[in-house]
Amino acid sequence: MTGRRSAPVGRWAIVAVCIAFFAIPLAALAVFSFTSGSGWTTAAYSAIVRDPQFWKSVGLSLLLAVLTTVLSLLLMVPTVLWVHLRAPQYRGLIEAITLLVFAVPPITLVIGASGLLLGLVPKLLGTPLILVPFYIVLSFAFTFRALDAGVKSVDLQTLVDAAHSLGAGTASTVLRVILPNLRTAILGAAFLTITVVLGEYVLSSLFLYNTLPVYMADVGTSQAQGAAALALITVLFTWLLLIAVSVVSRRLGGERVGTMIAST
Amino acid sequence: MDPALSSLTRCRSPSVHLRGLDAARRPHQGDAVGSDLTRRVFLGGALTLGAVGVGALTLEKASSANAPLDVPAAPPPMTAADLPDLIAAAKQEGRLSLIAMPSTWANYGQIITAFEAEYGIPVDVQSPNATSAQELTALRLMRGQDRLPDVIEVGPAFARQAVAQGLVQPYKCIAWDKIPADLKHPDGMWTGSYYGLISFGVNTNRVPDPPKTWAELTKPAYKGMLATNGDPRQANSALNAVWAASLANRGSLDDIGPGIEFFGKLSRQGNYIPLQANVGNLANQQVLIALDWSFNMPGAAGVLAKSGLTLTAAVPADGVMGGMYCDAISNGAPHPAAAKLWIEWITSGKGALLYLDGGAIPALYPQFVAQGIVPADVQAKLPSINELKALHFPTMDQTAKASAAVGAQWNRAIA
Amino acid sequence: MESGDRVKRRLPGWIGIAPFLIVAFLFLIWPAYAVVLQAFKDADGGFTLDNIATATGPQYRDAFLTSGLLSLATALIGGVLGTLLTYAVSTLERPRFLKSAMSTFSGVASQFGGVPLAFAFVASIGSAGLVTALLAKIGINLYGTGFSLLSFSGLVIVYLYFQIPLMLIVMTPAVEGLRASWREAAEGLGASTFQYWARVGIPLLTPAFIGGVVLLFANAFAAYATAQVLTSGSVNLVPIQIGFFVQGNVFAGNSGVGYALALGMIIVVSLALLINILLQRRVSRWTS
Repeated sequence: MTGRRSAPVGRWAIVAVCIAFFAIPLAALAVFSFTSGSGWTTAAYSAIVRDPQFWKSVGLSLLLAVLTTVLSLLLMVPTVLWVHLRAPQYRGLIEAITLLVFAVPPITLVIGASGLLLGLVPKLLGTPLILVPFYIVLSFAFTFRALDAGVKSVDLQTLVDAAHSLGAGTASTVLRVILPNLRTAILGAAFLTITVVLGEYVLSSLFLYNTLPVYMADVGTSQAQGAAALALITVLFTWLLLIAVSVVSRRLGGERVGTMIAST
Repeated sequence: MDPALSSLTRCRSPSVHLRGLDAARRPHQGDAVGSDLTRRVFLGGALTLGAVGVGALTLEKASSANAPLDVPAAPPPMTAADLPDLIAAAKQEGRLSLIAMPSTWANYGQIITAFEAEYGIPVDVQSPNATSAQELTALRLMRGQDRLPDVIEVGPAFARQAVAQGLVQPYKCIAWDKIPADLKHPDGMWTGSYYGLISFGVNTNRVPDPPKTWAELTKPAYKGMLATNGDPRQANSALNAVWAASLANRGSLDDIGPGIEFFGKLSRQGNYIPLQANVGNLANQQVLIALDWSFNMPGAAGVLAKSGLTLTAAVPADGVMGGMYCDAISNGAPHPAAAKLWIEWITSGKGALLYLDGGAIPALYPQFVAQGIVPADVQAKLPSINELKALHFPTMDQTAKASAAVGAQWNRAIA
Repeated sequence: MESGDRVKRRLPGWIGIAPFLIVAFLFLIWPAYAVVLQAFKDADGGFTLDNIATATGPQYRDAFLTSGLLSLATALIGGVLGTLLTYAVSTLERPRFLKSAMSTFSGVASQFGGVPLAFAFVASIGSAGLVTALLAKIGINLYGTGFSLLSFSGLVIVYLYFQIPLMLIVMTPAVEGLRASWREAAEGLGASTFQYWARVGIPLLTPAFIGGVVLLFANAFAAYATAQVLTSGSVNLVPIQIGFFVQGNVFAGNSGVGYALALGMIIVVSLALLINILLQRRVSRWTS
């Protein structure tokens, strides 16, 4: 009993050590990005902002992130709902497939892709949009876990039965009963997908598209400070974005998105 | 197991000790079923995969999109009289699409800008840091699209592959006959427009006493300073650096072994670090001595100069290794005339001379010297014409053998 | 009940998951299958076992061993530290923003990799890094001890940056599922803290822990960009070897060996994931 009453020193120590471990490299990045041969300067940052290729890459990455998230949710939310309500025997199969992503090295996906895709969708292959289905697949594990956890924490069957007994049709049930209850799970899934897309390097460089991580790597071969500045900007921007939506979501009455992300 | 908890679970077994698949066989409400379904799923999956696999393979073979393209026949040899028509046709096409040409590599930044200024044809370079393998992948993936690069530049081993797979088309430039035999493909499938020598690029601010030979690299003073431009199994330049070290240690173009051992020794001493000697790492002084192509040095020196650092480059006296890259026009290039004009620019046009500013030696260097258009100070920095004539590039087979040797032995040597 | 509902009831179960299966097939299963097929093709497209034979050579066995060790080390260390962190974050009540901040940060950090991550560590514990310099000021010569960021141990530290957050993401539902009421019930029955953990807490957390460790293992095994930027090949890892054959400037015409290595990777990681699935089933049974 006494262990619980006294100050949780052990837990504080762990948290402090981990925070230090995560913060120090970011701090070093910051310091490095502001230094040059002779003192402090924001030259790295201004060089990035003035580079049109930077804005193109940011635009491309954000576009891909939004498309991937929307399409991924359109695909996964109905799938998860269906599995839970109508076909629970397939849940294991779907989970297995979502984890299969970790087994195949992305660097080799291109060869499989090129053969079949060249035959089926050559036009799509010419645009960055070809990355979207691959990104959806890459984020399978995260979206499925987030939505699955969310659905499990809500007694879906009861909700559906209640809605039906009150006379709601399928569409109303889904839109006005189920989805609002899954709001934080959906947001959690969305944000993990966004972080996956914004951090994905291998496939974009294989297909030779200049997304933000590819741009960062290119900058890194010639200007280390620029790459450091970019890395810092990306991490902080993504993190602040997640926090902002977490706060907004809580104001709107849901759980914190942060909690939902961690519940995947 | 604590009795208070067993009521909180739906497991019907009174002894709650988890027994794996036994527990799984009991039907649970809404739960994933265990081994029975798993077996069915795997069996079904395997059969489906087999059937679909066969089907898709047949589809792939039959799909015309995957058939190798026919390679156009060689056009008649270009003469100087054809040049104005070519320029007009290129301008008509309106753009040139290149790939994998960093601006600090062999002065391509300036060569491209000068081309744009001379002919008014905009040039765009996709993926400047793409590897040779990626260039070939691009040719396959972008077939039939406007994004297909017009000209590729790859290492000789990859040029051989590109030819075998019908990815490039033949073109013999105006100066074809004057280009040495080992710098061109016999049927015109590619041209080696320039070559370089492995040299030492030294940050003289931090290293006041630069090494002049391979043997000197083992000095303790150079601890933690040496790097190649990548791993020799990944980067052509690094492979040639190891080869040059081999030549300096009684190896030969047929035997890269002594070079691997030498680098192993450097690594054990701590002189050789596994960081990549690219412009970024040179600029932030993580790498102080770069063992890289001579045509990467001036570009890096320019970037270092912006921070007040000096990079001096010199070819080591005891192991001289030359290497070239092959330029080829892609099969199905969207802008073929512009592509041909580009080849002219870098073989006998002003672009070829700009190679010299980048530390690269253009294919027609002896002719340029004879014409007197190479400044004396530039000539002084390069080996003499006779020395260059005596330079041998490795054959395809020697390269294959060397890369196989490195692939097998490098890791053990460096570990 | 509406007629639409009755129609829906007659639809077979697999219809609803068909779109998912189609996407998964086209963009994951078929490419993976094609990779496996490529492992058996030679340069002209004919069938050969040579690639497999080459891929079992000593330097590649070394690579699998090193990759396996690196993945196991980061999975175990990351797993333990991540679990401890999760428990700490979940149960600490102050500051109140801690849980939210840590979980949002973990969402970002678990995807942090490649060039940005490598640069961050080079800037801190590289030979010219901030931390290295600070340590030197207080008299500790970090690199003098033989440590180097560009080595196996350096990679372990760098990989932990995304492994620990990933573990946090995985373990949070399990830790949160340890309901306080159970602990109170256990204490009410006279159990000590140690007994609580030994008989209730740890057994309940173990399946999720093992599943998380396996996931971390797979994640580390497949990581390519980070190792490539930091060591460019001096640490013998399987994804990097694959890169030499499939995306390099030296090896041409024998990409089949790269695919054979990829096949090996698929087998190794699939086995690990199979364990994960079997164990995850137990978790859902306990906490549902």
